[in-house]
Amino acid sequence: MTRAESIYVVADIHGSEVCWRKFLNAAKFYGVDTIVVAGDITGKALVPLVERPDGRVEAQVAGRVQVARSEAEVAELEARVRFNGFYPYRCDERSYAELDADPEHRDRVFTAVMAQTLRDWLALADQRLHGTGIRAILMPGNDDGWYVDDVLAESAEVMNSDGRVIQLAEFQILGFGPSNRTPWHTTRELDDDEIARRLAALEPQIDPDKPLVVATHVPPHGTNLDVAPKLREDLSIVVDGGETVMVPVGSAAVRSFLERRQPVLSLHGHIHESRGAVRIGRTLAINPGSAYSTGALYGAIVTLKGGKVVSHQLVTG
Amino acid sequence: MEATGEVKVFTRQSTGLTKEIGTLDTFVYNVNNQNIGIGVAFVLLFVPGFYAGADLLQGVVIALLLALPMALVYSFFAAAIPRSGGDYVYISRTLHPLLGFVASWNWVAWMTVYIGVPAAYFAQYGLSGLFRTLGVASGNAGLVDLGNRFVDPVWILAVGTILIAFFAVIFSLGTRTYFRIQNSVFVIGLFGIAIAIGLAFVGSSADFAANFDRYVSAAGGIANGSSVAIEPAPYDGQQTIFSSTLAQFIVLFAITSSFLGGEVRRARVSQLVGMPGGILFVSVFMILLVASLVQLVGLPILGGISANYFSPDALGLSFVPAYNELVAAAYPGNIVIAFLLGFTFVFWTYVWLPINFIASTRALLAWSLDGLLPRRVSEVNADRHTPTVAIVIVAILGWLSLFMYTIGIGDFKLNTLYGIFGWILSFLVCAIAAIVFPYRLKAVFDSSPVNWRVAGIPLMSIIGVIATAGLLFVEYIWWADPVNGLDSTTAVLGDDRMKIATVAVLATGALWYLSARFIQARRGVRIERAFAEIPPE
Repeated sequence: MTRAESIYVVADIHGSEVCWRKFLNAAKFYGVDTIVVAGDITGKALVPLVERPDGRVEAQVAGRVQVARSEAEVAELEARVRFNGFYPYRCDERSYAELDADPEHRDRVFTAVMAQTLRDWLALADQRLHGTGIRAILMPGNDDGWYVDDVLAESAEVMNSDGRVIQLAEFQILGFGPSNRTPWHTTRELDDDEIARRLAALEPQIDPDKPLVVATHVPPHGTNLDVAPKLREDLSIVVDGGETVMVPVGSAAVRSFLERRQPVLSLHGHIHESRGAVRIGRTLAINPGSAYSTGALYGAIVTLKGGKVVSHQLVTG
Repeated sequence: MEATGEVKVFTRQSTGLTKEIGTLDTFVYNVNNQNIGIGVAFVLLFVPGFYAGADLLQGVVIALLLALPMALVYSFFAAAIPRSGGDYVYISRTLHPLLGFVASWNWVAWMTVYIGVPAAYFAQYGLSGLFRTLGVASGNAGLVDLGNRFVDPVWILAVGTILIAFFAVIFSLGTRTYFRIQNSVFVIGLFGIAIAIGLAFVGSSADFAANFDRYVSAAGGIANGSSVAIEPAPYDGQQTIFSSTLAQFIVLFAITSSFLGGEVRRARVSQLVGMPGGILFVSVFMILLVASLVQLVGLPILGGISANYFSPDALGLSFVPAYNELVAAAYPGNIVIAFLLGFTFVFWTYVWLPINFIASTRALLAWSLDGLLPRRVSEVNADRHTPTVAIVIVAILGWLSLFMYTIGIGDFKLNTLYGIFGWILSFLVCAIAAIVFPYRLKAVFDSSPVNWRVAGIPLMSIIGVIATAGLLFVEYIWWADPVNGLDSTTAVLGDDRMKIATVAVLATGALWYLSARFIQARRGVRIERAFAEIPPE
């Protein structure tokens, strides 16, 4: 590899439409060749916009119940919901009551809304990236449902790197979306032993003559890329002296894999507050962090040349 | 749109949905950075003797009123952009990265000054008074002599150096130990304040002059210490306003929770209550303590002590007594009271040191991550999660300020309050950023929990205007105050070096940013991209 190759990586955009739109424009903005989302694409909350019999539409936004009285106001409300990474869902009072009363029905609706939103996002990606030569690589993270793989497969421009090694001209990228166990028991969680087994199973796909980039959603354990607030069983944050108590929560299996394979670069996410870049032997490991709910897109730009990282920069777009 | 009844948001099982850091935690964090003990000590040591006609309590209330809008600006920003980094992030995103860096650089420059200065206070105000008051109460001349030694510049430097080194080691091991200690120490300090208020209110004001005479005499001073009393001047509004600098020095810095980091979400209530609430809490304690001391000691003696702050030999002492000694003097021979008041006051003297130490290292980390300092500065020890290089840098800068405060170079020493004018410039830029934030980052503001409008105008902009106006007035005070104002330094020092230093801090910040940008550009890294907003459309 003699040509300089630039990669822009983000993670944990969690349904934020403004972050997705920024991501799609990032390649041109920063002048990079490849853009990567290192897991956790979908959002966490469904916001019903309840149509009242008198025509008003009510929704809880930013902690307060807001009322929209016209289509323009409803559109404004929807935009604000999407900005935070939430999903607006218009419904009447009867549908709202059903959502409230029936968790299974609510899950079905939530999943359908997330899937459709992702389809819309990918359609936008196909439209914006077609013919540009920009490579877009996404993978689901532990928070993304299994349906996400099927939706990603529908895109012409976006590649899903989860559980495979994608061979590019200048380098190869190994993707792995699941995380180790979390207190939230999310969709794609595995025991560390199983993560180690699955990563090892991907090794035959690695071309030994080409620089390797590893993208695992979960960061390696004990590297300062994985430091998260310590939680009690009720998910409340442990605070000591006014300071949040932070503990490492990454994957030991991922760390072991990186230490053994020594890829030129490893890209991670998962722990939003652990933005940073560290060296693990010869590997530069990066967690771009996330502040999706503020509309700021945390990312990192990495330039590779001659099989080495020649520069990296954390950016807030 | 208007607010009405209840409609739910449905969340799914996903990582990161935790309970928020509570209002109480935010409140404690902010109150910790407001030094009630030193604040009251300074009000009583400087206002009655140097601000003729100033009303002590009104000065505290003026400081409170001037600090509140600024605290609201920071709490609005903290709710709207809930990320670590404080005003460095707010200003960089809202105005310009260069301005954000210069404001942050300015913060750190003055913050490191207030690492060395409180390191000096520990011996100068804390240990000195503790040992002298114990010596007087127990009749032990050796303890009195030991107390006197702690106001010697070399002793202050030695003790301050040990203190800075101690905290550097503590922070190298991790911040949890410190925060555990600080929480306990804060309770001890507050307990001491409560005791002082109670004892001062119930102490005999009629006998105080006689008790004070005995105390000064037993401490090796003149027989009739109360003879230094001066008749209070008639009320003077301008002097009262100028005297608010002493209380502002305390309450202006109730904004540290804006630096609390990361994804951890805080309800707007936490920040809105935590910052202004912290100021109110501290102000109430300051008012009660000042009022109780005025009741016990009386303004004439307080004025006499204060007027002789720089000439303690008028009392035959090596330093004038702070409030803890005055309350102890009202209970002659009571060693328990002397110990409780002196011991608990010690914990207020150095409290800014560790807080400013941590905040400075966090700023250095943020700059390093953004490519404005070498990468090595942001290297964090994997086992202890502590930035060793940043800690060493801050310790050295803090020690330099300690040296300049105690020994100095030639005839130049740092005065405690010379840096505040420059420091407040960062607050001013942040207040201006608050005015334009709802317009420049409209989508962020609209989706934030503080998107309130009054007659269509964002409340945040209105508060930004009020805070800007308030801070301009604050800067006027810190410029024109004949005792602590920056303009007064010309007469005191005989030249404009403090004014030049204030400007130089800003200029070096800008120069550093531009130099770093140039160096990084040669490596292919454009640091201006660090905060550049990607157009979403």
